[in-house]
Amino acid sequence: MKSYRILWIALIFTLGGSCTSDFDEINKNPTAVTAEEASAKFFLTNPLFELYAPNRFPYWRAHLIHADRFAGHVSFGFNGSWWTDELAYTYNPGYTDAAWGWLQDYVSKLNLFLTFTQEGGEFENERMYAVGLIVKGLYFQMYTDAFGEIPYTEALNIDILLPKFDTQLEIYTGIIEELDQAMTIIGDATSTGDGVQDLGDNDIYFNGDLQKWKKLANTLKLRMSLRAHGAPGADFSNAAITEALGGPLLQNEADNALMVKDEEISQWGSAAYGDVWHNFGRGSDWTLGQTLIDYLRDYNDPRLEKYAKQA
Amino acid sequence: MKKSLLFFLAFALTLTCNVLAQNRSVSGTVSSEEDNEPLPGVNVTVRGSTVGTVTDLEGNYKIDVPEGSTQLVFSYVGFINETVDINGRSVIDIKLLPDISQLQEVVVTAFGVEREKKALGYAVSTVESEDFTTAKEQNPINSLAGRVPGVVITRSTGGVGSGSRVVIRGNNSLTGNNQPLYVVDGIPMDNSGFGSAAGQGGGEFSRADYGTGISDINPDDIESMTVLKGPNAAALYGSRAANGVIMITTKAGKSQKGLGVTFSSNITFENPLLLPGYQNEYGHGNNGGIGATVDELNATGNSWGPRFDGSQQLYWTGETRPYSAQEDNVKDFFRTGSNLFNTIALEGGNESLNARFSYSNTQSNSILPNSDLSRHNFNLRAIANLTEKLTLDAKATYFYQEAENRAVQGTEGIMSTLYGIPRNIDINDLKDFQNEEDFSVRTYGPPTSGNPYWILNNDVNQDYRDRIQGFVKLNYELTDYLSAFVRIGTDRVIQKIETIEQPGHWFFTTGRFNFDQYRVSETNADFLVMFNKNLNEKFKLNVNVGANHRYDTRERTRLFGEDFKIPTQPTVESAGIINSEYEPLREKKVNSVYGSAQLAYNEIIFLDLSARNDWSSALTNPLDPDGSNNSFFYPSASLSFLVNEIIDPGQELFDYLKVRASWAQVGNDTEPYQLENTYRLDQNGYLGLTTLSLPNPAVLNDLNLRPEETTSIEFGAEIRMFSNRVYADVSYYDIKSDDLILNVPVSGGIYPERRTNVGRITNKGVEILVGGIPIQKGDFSWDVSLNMARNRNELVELIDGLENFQFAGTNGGTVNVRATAGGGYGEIWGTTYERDPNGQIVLRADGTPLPTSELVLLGNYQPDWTGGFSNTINYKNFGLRLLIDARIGGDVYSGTDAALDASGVSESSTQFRESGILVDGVINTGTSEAPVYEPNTTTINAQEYWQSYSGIASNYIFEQTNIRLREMSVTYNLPRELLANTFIKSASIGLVGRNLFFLHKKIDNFDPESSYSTSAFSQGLLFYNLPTTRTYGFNLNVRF
Repeated sequence: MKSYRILWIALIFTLGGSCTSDFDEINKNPTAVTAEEASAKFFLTNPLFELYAPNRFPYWRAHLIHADRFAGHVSFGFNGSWWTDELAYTYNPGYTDAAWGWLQDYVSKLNLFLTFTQEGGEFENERMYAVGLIVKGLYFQMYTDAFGEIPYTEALNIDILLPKFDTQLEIYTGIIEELDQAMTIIGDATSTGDGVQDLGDNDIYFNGDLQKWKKLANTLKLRMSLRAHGAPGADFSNAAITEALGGPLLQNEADNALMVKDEEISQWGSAAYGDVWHNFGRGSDWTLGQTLIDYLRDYNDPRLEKYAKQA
Repeated sequence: MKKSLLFFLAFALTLTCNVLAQNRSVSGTVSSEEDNEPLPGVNVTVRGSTVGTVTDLEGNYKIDVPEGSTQLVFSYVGFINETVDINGRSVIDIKLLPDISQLQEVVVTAFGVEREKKALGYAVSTVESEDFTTAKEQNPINSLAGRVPGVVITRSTGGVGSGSRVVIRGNNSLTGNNQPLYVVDGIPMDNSGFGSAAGQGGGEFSRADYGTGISDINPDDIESMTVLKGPNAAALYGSRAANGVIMITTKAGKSQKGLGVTFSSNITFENPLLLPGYQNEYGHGNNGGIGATVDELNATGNSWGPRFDGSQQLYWTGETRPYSAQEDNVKDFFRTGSNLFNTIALEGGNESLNARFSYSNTQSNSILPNSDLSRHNFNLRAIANLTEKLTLDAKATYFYQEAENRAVQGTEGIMSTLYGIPRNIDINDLKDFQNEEDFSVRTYGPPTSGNPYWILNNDVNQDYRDRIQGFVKLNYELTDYLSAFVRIGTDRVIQKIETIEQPGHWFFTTGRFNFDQYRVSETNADFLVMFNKNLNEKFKLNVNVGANHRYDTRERTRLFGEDFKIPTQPTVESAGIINSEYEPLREKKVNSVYGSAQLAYNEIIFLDLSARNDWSSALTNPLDPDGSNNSFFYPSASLSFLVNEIIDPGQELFDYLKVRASWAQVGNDTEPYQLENTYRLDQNGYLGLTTLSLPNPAVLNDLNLRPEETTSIEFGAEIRMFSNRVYADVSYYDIKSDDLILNVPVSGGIYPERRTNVGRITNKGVEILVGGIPIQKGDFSWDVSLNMARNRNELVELIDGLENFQFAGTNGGTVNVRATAGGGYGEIWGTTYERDPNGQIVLRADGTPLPTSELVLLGNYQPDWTGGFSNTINYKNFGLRLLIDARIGGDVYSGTDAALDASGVSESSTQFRESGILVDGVINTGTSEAPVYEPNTTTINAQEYWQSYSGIASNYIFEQTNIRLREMSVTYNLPRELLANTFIKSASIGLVGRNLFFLHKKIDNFDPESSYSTSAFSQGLLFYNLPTTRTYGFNLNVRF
């Protein structure tokens, strides 16, 4: 009997113990990229284009259905249009929340880049971090201009489940401080580094040219302080305007932060206007708004024929 | 070894003694009183001696009776023992009476170990072969409905071959699927479904259901199904037992004379059980008018036209037609569905080898005109006694299924283009469904109205499933008290799904296809050592020890194409844009060791202890394997006490009175790759650049994730009285699930969600089963049983800062289904009427009702009570079976009803047509900050009213409460005398029906037990489901 028992115990241990040796191997996802295999620059491109050409969901529900319709740029609700006439004029959380959802979720992509490149980060690179700070400025200005008070000081903190909402004054002064910080870091540098350290192509605004980033930062500082000028409590604006005017600014076409449109990317990745018009059958069957057409026609604006085709 | 040698010597000696003392022999045949069939293997012993024999295959025996013995004892499992006086006879033929009570007393428990029911300290329910085969269900799990207390079955209404959602004793996990583990002949089976209906995520747009694993089992192969409810009974199955286990035992061959051939054929027809009630007073039009031109008429696809008067009016095709109702235009779209099941089974064997082969063929034609399914099941099982001690048991099953055009449900599914057709439109006029120039839909309203025939022809799908299951088991009897088996079993599935949206589709105007192939497998290798011995006269010990190695794999390849070069060619070559995806082999391994021990005292008290330890690769941290929380221990204990042995030893009142208690703990692990944080390489980065992003969904993983832990306590009692004429079984349970694995939304940070262990869910409930045989007289008997179960579920806590977990929401956000901290699982939240501080309804300035901007709690989809009432009446050769089942309480939101009201086809939409309505409410003439409410003075028309009314979710919450005749069958067994001179051994023919009608329900237009999903998501919502069906037909069984 004893020999049996030993046999069973041995069997149990063989099965229970040694066979777990490959458990860590098989629990690795072969199609997933780990931080060791990656470089920071690959994480910048998406935050850059998604701020201005997001995917279809926010593009439809935030931009087209709400903002563009309110502005009189587009119209729908006619016979054959997928969208009803009431849409955007009645509260409907599935649609109304899309603008907030898009901007709130965006923070994660940017924060990933900042976390990687910050001091002590996986891909520590001070200059890349400076670029991240400038994008952060572009983003938070857009976000707070749309919604007023938003989470800012605690928004990037992983440990805070429900970050507090900050006033616009705090956000504006905070952004300007961070832009200053970015410009100081950049100094006279022209690139973020060599090889994989160079943002290069992955920087779809400036192809890695840091001096252009610096101009963008300073111009953004000027725009924000001008916008804040005269607002209650915005005492910083005069000084900031003077500082910005004394620094380099985006001045000519060569300085443009020009993002080339991707004509092939799927609407689920990015939906720029040209992409989103006719690619979803009845779903995207809307038309230009009377307000926009009248305005362009009344001013003999040559853009009219670029925007619209006569029916 | 020495011991057994001694035993053998002693045995041989007694034998010799008997030989010396013998002086006469008795022979005869033993058969069953029930059907006169000879009984092989009956024990025949001479009372007061050690002499014994067993009957052969034809029921014959011959026994030598020692001097002085006067009685023979016949005993056979499942039959009442018979003691017969010899009285000097040399031939004694005898018929044994079946013992109904005893038959039910042996149940199959974890790992296929058969146990006496009286010894179990927890509730188990067994459903026998007849319940699956009499009124057959394509998906055998549906036959459990109403038969087992505490099991809630919600079938998906996805048409032929669709799956069902099975929940035993409530939902224990927020993100897990909460469905039981299926074990077939000891081998766990992969029950995962494919396609959108099985997945998480809440889209109500379009969902197709391709069925789940359990629907691949042939009902004719099932010997019995045992439900191990919850962790108490199932703890030995470890991490997958938290939701209970359904154990299926399939038929093995019986020893018999010659070849046994069974043929059964079942043909049933089906029709919609319930279609919405329609108004037949108003037709196609807008705001009470038809429109002067066809364009004006077709500007809308609703029934807001004038009252029918039979006059010649403009029709959507441009013709002039009599303006009158087409009362059956929706009903006429459906055809009579049919199901043809044929099974042929061959079985045979002798003392050393039994085998059974069956082939089953199913052909189902859906009520949808183009949807069909065909199935083939091949099943071979053999049990061979290789030596006296070594037994080989092996099974191989091959399953092939091919289906065409599974119904796509939801707001973009086929019913969305049917239910709302204006009341004066002849369905036949829609059969010309396509405009020739651009293949677009030809329809009565704007293109968004759609045309069901366009979908039937152009929005198509096909799927194929191959499944191989099998096992080999070697059992060795080491001694009479020690045996062991080793077993390896596998379940492998290849599923192919092809969907095509032809050019002209209203979204995908240039055509789109999706070709998907999955390969899924689960393999288990295990062994079990079983020790069973009487320690002394009073104590009996039973110990099982074993181990299991489980290996799961999954692979997927997908081809997705758009933009067909040749519109009629949905092929890879024709696609202008091709995307491909490949998910390489995903593996998961779980190693387990387990043991159980039962100590029985005097057959009165039974104490069970079990323990299991699992090591799961899915919980192994790839960065620090040794520091992982991947090893988990699950204990359980149970006690059974036969009180009747103490208070009523003579069995004068009670045949049986048992009280039981048990406690168990099990965990629920997770899927692979849920621990390490990784990044996704975008297949098509912006401008073709190499870009990396967060995985989708972007969830911060937790390297220290623990399994969910479920702890369950159960108490129960079982009573049998008056010679088994009355019985009852009552259970109470209290289940707590802690450390729920949840993706907690995070407002800031990098990840929008982070995965962690949080919260607690409790399920408490009562299950009651009472039954008996009220009448048993001569040829007549009536068996009745009634069961009821109630479950109370609460999400006790979640995590600070998070009030609820949302399962599913609608596109517009007017309704969603959640679990709320302090509330329950499956709460339905939606909009209701906006009200002023005085409770008056607030209206819009135009006098139409206004929904709230915040969602409020409207109901919960979990039923309060479920139950069943079954009757079996036998009279001579006739048998009648009747099953009524009930679901009491629980709510459902019907988006379909809302849409029918909005389009003016529903019965209620006839109200206010002529006079309009001045809604009793107030209008805010101030601002939202400083409201000024003034009474409404604006009268609106019916169309305005119903179209705004339908946007208020609270108007469409219905109670699920319903009682229905689930099953009825009348069977006639052909008299034996009639078949006496034929090759047919027995034959029966029956008239069967399922889901026949409602005895009571609280919702008008739809079957409240419909669902377009088998996942935990999207329950409690109806969006253009296919109607459930009533089936009726014939059943033929012949044995040769």
